[in-house]
Amino acid sequence: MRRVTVLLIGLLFLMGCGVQSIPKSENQVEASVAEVTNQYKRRADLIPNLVKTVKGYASHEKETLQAVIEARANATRVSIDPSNSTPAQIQKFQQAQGGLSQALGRLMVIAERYPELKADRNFRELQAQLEGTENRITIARQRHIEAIKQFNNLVKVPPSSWTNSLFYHHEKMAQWALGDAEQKAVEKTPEVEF
Amino acid sequence: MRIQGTSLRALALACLIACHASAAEFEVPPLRSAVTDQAGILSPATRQQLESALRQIQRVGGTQLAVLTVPDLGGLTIEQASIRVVDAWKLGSEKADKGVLLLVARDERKVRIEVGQGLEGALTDAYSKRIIDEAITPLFRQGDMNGGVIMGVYQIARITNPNIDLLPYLEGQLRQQRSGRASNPWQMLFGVLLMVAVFSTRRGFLPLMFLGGMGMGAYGGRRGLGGFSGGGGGFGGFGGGGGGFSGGGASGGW
Repeated sequence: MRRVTVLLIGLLFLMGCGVQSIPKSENQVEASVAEVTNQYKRRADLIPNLVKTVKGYASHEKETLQAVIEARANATRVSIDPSNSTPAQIQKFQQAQGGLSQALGRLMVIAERYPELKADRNFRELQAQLEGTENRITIARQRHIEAIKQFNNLVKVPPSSWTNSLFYHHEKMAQWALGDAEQKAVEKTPEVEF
Repeated sequence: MRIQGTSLRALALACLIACHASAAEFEVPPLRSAVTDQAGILSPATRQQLESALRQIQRVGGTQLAVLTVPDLGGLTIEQASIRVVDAWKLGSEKADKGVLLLVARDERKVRIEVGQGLEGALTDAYSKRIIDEAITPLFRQGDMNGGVIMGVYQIARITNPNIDLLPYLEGQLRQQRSGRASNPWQMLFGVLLMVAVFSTRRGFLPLMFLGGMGMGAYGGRRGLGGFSGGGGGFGGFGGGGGGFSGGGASGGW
């Protein structure tokens, strides 16, 4: 009888210590990866229209437009499987998306030089959508980082880490790192022209 | 004893510095009513009318729209601040996620519409941007904060809940903004747009009466007939319902 009670109490104790929260947190990480890829896809979907609109006003900016198209093709080729994403996979994905971000950035700078393009209603709406999507990407990534942090806490910090080593044997997940391109962009000193 | 005194003083100083540092950071105010005017840029009348309008749109349309003005963003971008606010407030219900936040940062002169997941299809980024550029910031630039916020709320509600007419709730304010500035062509245009909106509701006599009043306000520069503002009163137990946000919306500045 006493043994049963101890077992029950032990089980109850475990309930509060990660038996449920560790798998839940793992699912949360998966969902947040899916959200990140989803938002990047949303951005990729905007680009054909954007390129077409810019071409209408700035057709001789061929190089920049071509760079965007290529970067998009590059980025859509790399995908992540949310349910078993490896750090290397995410790294590669990020690199491809970072390339697209840069190409898009250049395109938007060029757009500034064409007043007629800037006044175009279609272009302005696309620009608003692109800005909104970039913001969604930032937030999705932030939430992914947060989800990984929570998972790692559960796996590494007692008492839930004991449950992990008893039942689940999960390893700590790797955090997002800035991609090479992003790192360069951050490190570069901004140029100011007077 | 002496040493203790100095160290105590040092500790107190450290505490003060810590307090100061945290004061400079952006803090999300508690959600107590639909309009939170921390920057002190809205008049009591505006606040009251906005609250009755926002209560109406939440009760009938299920859209939880909140207005927040802050003095500054404490070093954050308006996008960062705004997602922090909605993550804390959780506007909209958990099921439908129909929440919207209109955030105004006074010192940075920035404004943002943050759209809940359930409304992203209706109130798109492009629409949000258009509301900011065409309804809110032109009035802000003239120093008319009350008018800008009211126009913004009105336009947001027109898109999220086209079947609900907020004019009776905001009409007094809308007209007040218009009277005395008849020469501004933008506002005249907006008056025309409003009329179209009023006509399309086909409610008969009430909108027509309003039209008469507004017409005078817009063209004669005189105050129109007595308005019919909606019942005032505060938001009884205003709180978020667990709505999710993923960063949709748009930002702008003035």
